[in-house]
Amino acid sequence: MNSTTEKRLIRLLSVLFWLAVWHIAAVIVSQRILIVSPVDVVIRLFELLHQPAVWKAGVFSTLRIAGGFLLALASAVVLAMLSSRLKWVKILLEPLVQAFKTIPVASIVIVVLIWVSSRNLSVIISFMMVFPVLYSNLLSSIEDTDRKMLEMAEAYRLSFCSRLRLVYLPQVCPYFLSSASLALGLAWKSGVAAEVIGIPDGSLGELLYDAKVFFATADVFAYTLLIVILSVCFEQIMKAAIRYAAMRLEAI
Amino acid sequence: MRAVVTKHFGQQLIFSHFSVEVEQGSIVRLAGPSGSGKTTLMRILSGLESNEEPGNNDFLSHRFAWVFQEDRLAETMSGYKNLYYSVGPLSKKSAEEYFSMLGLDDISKPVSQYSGGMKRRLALLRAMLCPGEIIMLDEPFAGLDDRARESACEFIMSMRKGRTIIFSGHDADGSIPADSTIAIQA
Repeated sequence: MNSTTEKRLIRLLSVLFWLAVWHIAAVIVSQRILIVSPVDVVIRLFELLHQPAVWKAGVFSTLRIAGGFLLALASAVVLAMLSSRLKWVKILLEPLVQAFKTIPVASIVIVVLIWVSSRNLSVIISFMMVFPVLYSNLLSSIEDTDRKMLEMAEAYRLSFCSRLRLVYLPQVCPYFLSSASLALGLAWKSGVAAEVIGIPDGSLGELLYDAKVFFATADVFAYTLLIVILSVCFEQIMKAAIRYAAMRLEAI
Repeated sequence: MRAVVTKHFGQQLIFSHFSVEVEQGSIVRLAGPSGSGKTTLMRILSGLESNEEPGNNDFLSHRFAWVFQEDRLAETMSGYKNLYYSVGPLSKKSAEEYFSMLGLDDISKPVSQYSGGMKRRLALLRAMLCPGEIIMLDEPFAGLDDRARESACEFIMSMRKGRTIIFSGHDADGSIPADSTIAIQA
């Protein structure tokens, strides 16, 4: 057995272990209002997936959370590049980034709800949660770029495009991918949390809220599983897209 | 080309009104013990390090190609991409020919898979293909065995095309036939 297969097997076994713990806990408690077994959650999810409203809510939330993430991604790339070149941009953005990092999500949600309709709440909240993570990581990876490689680029009078491809991309890309992965999880967590507080019509947050109000614990678990699946799928798509974009940029 | 160089690092004086004169198209060897300032002088002449006598450096009006003490290659990229993005458009066929002249094989292999000697040869190849009028070679043969050094030296001479070469190195690097030597004392 090679090391990759071994690692996958170990990971699968650890997941199975925690699923077993969850199942045993559900059997011991034996109260569906408190805890539902993983098997019941999957069954309930399949039942819910027969309802068009769930699909619509999935699309509604995904589009908004993805929108917020992509907006944050684009802003972070542009502003991190500007901040690395212009010190005043960095100084100007610092308090804003710190504020985004420290203000509690609930406070932002309440303030944003006063300003805009709850329909677009998750776009703004995911943007505000994701932007500081992407911006800070990108900026520090640009600032940490190998000075010797930058000097080589200067000595060879490389154009901006060549510098980007030869010096910045290979060094920034790995950091960018890991911070994008972290930020994607954050976008979903904060986006759905905002929807649960703001209860926009036809969102996953609204379904989750209703399930809580009616003590439909199985539904709460099933919607949560659906959010996790959507989040993982979106993360894989985004990572592949970023890798593809980097590959295209590097390509001759 | 002429330059007058004065340089301090902190309180330490490295060069004081040090005059350098190099005939265009010649090969100049910088000689001196380790730490004498050969690399610093090359960096000042090419503008990578500041000169405390501004305006006293004719070399700066020229374009440079460099082999640094470290190879300074993009490790995750192939040798071909390293060349392409550093020296400009280059066909795969030409790249393969140049690679074989220096005993390098696969142009699409990531540089991280190269040995130390292969990286050095690639750095040399990049410098010689760059349209720089002055070629700075800082310890160009470091890490190369005698045979590789000989073929690298032949390659440098064949690709020189009348350009100025300024190189530093120890006695063993004397295989590039220098027209003149600038001796620097520690």
